[in-house]
Amino acid sequence: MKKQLSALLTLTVLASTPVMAQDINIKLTNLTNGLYFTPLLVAAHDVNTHLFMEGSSASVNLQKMAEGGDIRGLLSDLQVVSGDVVENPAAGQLDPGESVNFNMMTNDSNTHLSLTAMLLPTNDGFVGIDSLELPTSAGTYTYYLNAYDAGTEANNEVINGGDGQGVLGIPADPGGNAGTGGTGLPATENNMTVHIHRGNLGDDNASGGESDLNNTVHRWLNPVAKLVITVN
Amino acid sequence: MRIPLKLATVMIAAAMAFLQGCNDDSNNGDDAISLPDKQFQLDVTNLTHNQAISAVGVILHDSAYQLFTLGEAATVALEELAEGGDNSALLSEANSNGAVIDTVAGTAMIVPGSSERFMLGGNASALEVSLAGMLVNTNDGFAALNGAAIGHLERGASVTFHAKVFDAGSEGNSEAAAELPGQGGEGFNAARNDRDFVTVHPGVLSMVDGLATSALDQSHRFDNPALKVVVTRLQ
Repeated sequence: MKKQLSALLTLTVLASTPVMAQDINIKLTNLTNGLYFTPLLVAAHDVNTHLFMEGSSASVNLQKMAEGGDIRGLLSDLQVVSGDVVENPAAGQLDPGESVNFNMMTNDSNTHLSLTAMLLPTNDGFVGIDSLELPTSAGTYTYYLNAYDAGTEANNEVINGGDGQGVLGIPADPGGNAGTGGTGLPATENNMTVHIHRGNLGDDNASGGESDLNNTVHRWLNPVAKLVITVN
Repeated sequence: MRIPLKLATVMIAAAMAFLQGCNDDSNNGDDAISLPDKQFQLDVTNLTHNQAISAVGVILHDSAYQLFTLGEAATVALEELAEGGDNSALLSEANSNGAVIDTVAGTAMIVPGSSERFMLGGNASALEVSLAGMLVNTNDGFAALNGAAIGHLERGASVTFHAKVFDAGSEGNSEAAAELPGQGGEGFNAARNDRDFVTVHPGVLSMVDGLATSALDQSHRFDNPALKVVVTRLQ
């Protein structure tokens, strides 16, 4: 399972530095008990750019991130609009309770910040923030981030390596707390727009039941991440 | 539908004020004669997975109006909304409250992933917006904004709020079909068989998570927030 995950990781950090406008520091903390963030994509961009929008259908590139942790599509979307991008700052997954800290230089026109990472183990859950207006006065600003459901895949809670686009199932549980043999929760998606994730259900049956997820480990309540932006 | 009529009223009132050379500066909610110099557009989106939200009631007011107070009993009007999805008493009470400037009623349930747009107008020293709608597959759960400040908005600017789900505390959370409007069950019942104070909602259990008598399935579970509310000041 870990092998599959690491195949998703790319270790380059791209911090484009055109006309310098603002030097900011970002610290992101995983506030969950048992959920892992796949490689983060963080970007400053113009006011019109969105990686996702609440209540709107996910793009194919968002779907690839949310179902399989693949951020390459969203990365190219950001490059098209000359975003200032930090790709995979944690050099892999961000574990429960862990933080990542990094600096960004943002261009004058890139006034808004977006961030995404898939939550493992979920079918198409992700942590994100959509186009937050960056503060410009020196200081420290704290935000709490919610878990979203991309609305692209039913939450059957079966771990079968399914990732990417349109393959029903969860890629992996990096923490190794999941069970096997789950028959799957009903494969219906009632809200096919990006919405607030209702949470994992899980069960207490490690070798059967409906869900492969563990109901004492894999649940959460919002918020799932703490974002601290320091403007220098 | 209301807007052209109100605009006409406002224009007449403004013309009369001009002719009489008098300046009416009352902010007491009598919007037939006071000139609303701020117009707001609200876009309300249901962010839940499978909880339809009853026709919302939206209230523009100053800081003297309070939709509810956490830890205190809900009004009967709020109970009617939270148990039965009926916003009419809540809005008629608001309309007779001197701190309320404008109200608007939703036309229908807002289903998951969909939105409804509202227009409100008026002015006061401290403008706030409150709104509420029932999660129809709960006993007495409602998503609400309780006095979100919007008076600072410049013309053309927007602010986004996220509404949490509250429990009216007026009906126990049985999740039984007979008591859930979303399952064809009873709506408002004047009896109060819960703790009788408003709290943050604990969420629903559903039949697959330890409450065998629940009529709800796992799709009805929810986490906060339940509504996104984007307020844009038009003028």
